[in-house]
Amino acid sequence: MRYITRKNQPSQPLPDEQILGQKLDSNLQVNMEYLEQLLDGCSDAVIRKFKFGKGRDIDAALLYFDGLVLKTEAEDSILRPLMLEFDLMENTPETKAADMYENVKERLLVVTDLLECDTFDKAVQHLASGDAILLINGYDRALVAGIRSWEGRKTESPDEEVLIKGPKEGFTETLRFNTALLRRRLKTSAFKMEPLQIGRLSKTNVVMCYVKGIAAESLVQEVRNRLQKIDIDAVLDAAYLEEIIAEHHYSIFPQAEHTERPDRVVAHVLEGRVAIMVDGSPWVMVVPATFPQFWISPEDYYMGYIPASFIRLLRQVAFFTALLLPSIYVATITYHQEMIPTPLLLTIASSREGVPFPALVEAIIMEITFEFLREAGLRMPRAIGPAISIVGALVIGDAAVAAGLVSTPMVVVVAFTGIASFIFPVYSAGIAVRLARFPLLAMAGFLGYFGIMIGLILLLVHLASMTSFGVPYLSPLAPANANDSSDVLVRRPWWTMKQRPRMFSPINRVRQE
Amino acid sequence: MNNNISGLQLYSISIFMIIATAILYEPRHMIQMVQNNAWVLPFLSGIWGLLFAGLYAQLIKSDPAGFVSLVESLVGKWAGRVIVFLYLAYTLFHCALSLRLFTDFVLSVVDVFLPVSVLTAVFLGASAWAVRRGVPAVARLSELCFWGNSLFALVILLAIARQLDWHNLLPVLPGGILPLARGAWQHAYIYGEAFWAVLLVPFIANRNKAHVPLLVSVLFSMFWLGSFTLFIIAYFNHWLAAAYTFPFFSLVRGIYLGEFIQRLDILLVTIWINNTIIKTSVLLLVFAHTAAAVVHLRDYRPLVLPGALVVGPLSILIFNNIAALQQFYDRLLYLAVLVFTVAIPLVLFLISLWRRGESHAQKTGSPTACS
Repeated sequence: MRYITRKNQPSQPLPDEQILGQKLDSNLQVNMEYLEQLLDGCSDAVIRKFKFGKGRDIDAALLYFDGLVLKTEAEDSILRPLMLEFDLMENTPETKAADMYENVKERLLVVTDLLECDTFDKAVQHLASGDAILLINGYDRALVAGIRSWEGRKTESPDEEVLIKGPKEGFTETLRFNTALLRRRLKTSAFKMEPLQIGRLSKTNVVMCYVKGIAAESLVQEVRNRLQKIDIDAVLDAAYLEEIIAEHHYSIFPQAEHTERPDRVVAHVLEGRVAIMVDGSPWVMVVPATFPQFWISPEDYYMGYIPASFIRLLRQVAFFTALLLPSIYVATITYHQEMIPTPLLLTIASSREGVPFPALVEAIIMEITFEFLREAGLRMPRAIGPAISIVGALVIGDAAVAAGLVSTPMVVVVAFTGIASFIFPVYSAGIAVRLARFPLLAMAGFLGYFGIMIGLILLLVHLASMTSFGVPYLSPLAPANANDSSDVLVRRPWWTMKQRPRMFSPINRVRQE
Repeated sequence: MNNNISGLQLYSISIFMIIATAILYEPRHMIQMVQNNAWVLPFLSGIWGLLFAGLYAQLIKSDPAGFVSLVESLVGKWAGRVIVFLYLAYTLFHCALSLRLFTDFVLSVVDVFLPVSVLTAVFLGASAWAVRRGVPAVARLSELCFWGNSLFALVILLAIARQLDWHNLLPVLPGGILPLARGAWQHAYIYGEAFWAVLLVPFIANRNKAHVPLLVSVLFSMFWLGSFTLFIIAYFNHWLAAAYTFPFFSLVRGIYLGEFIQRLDILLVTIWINNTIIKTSVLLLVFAHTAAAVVHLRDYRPLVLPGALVVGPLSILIFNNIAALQQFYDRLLYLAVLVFTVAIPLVLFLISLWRRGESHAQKTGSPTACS
């Protein structure tokens, strides 16, 4: 009942919402009062009031947030022309009040990106986005000078998607840098970047990228609709959007592909997919996503198709190893010992002698320990993280075996599984597999191979019933498409890839003649 | 979500329906009947199977609205209802029987400690959940499992190939051709399992080309059943093979390769679990969908759970023990299957032909129609 009452409570209007809805006044004094009220407590807001004109009789104010604009640019492009060079203008004495605003806009401000706004809401939005606002007394509009510049991370090699061969550039936290990285690779006007703003408070800039004429109109419209429907206070990363726009909210499997690599995004939009970039995030989200595509690494296309196909097959084996190896070991040890050749069975039996736990408990303990080590290794400072992981694994593993808490084969199985789970090119898919391993392990412990098979079938049913923006999640394997599958299971040679994948229903299907 | 079943999916579903239980019991049954020539039976009875598949393809083309509409339009509303109710009962019975066959196999050969109710509940729960996730989930599952099963079956056949003794296949036709002909007809019912596609009509993407997946599924089933039976006879000889209840399972247990790889039971168990879950899922889907069409429900999903709740106890209570099940399987099952999957569909097809001829005559104004 309390929950219902809370739910029905109307949302409280944010302070200053009334002011934000108002239009700018022609009286600078009034505008400044409102703006000072809006910016009260914002210690980084800079308000520079000044006078200009022949007789220094025109009041004006320049506002910006410190750290978001280039100060020298504000001085050289806005303040200097108005305060010093205004007098040099030939017709200054004749300049009438009505022309003043136009003169400033057309002849004085030396800014490439110059806009206007007429509401407090827009003015504050521009300010927060890193623009400078110029208010002139007598005018109910503000000039918005795009002189954004802030210290950002330079383009570096992506940390999470490391390649031996191929481009080394990765996205940064700055949206404009990121769009430029893509634009440099697709020099066509058909490559569209639609801007959106999401987040009631964060007003995060989001860009939707696709290639017009390749991406299906219905897909683009669907992505646009889902993004426009989002009503949240802030969006700090692309992952926020994935959870909101995904179709299956209770699935552990990623329903969008996240990448730090511009080359990967370009390859995906050329298949007819849509990329979503979020300001402040070095990860770009690509939709729709299908599960078999998580086996693909961009590097596959930067090396010969034979080694690339071999590595891709290796990844598929690693996928099943990471998912099933501990479960198969537990099921075999617990229920199906007859399947193990006698010499091997004797070796395992002797190493398990004295271990106080059943195989299932032993496996769960080891898996959780491994997860602890992995997470600790990730969160530790870089200098000591790997050392802790290795030392932890070696010392704890060795000590646990010596103490008779776990058997040596179990350590080997868990270590092998851990290595296999690192082979995934897409991090979020790797996490899903890590999570799916535990219920399978439990089912193997209780029902043996039957449990594993039932668990696998339930997993398959779940995956088979999923879609990502209307595209079946197991495409192109189920529903099967021979043309598309041949570039998922192995890497097709470039000269045979005449068409784009059908599963994304591209408008133009011809990749090469 | 696209609810259509593609050609490949229809093929996968059909091959699962045909092979799922046949692979468990048929080799022994066929070997008992025609000894060392039993491997020929799947091919001979497959000729009947191809005719059945042609019949089903014609029925699929007849009415896009589905089986209920087809039957009611051909024999009238009330007679049609009776036939549909018979089919609903038969679907539940068949589902319970398939499940019982598998659980009996598991409990008698693989894992003797599990209570039958637990195994039944687990399988039924998984199948019901798959059906509730929608037709695409079942269709895609069967498509994926088809590839997995084919791969595992090939591995098994290749792994055992070195240990075969081809002399066990001799002599050829010791009892003449008559036992083969009789056996071919008696085992034709295996291919009658392709009939279930007729009850999935509203979901089939290309009804006019449904004959292709159905015919190919019969051909591939002939190949698999024939190969398995051939390998069983060649490995054991027919006297020994006929003594096993599940000779294929015993065959797989005999695999011994490179002095290391042995007893690949897991591959066979995987194949059979896939088979059972997909067959049970399709039958539950067919039941729920047909029942929904009878009571004019827009969504079949609410009827899945009641169907599963009937099938579960039925599969446990239907036979006292595996001996009773075998008696029924050997003596009566083929008759029941042939009635529901061949006789009634054939009558329906003939009525539709007659109706078509009648309406054609009315259009052309021939004297037969006037009289």
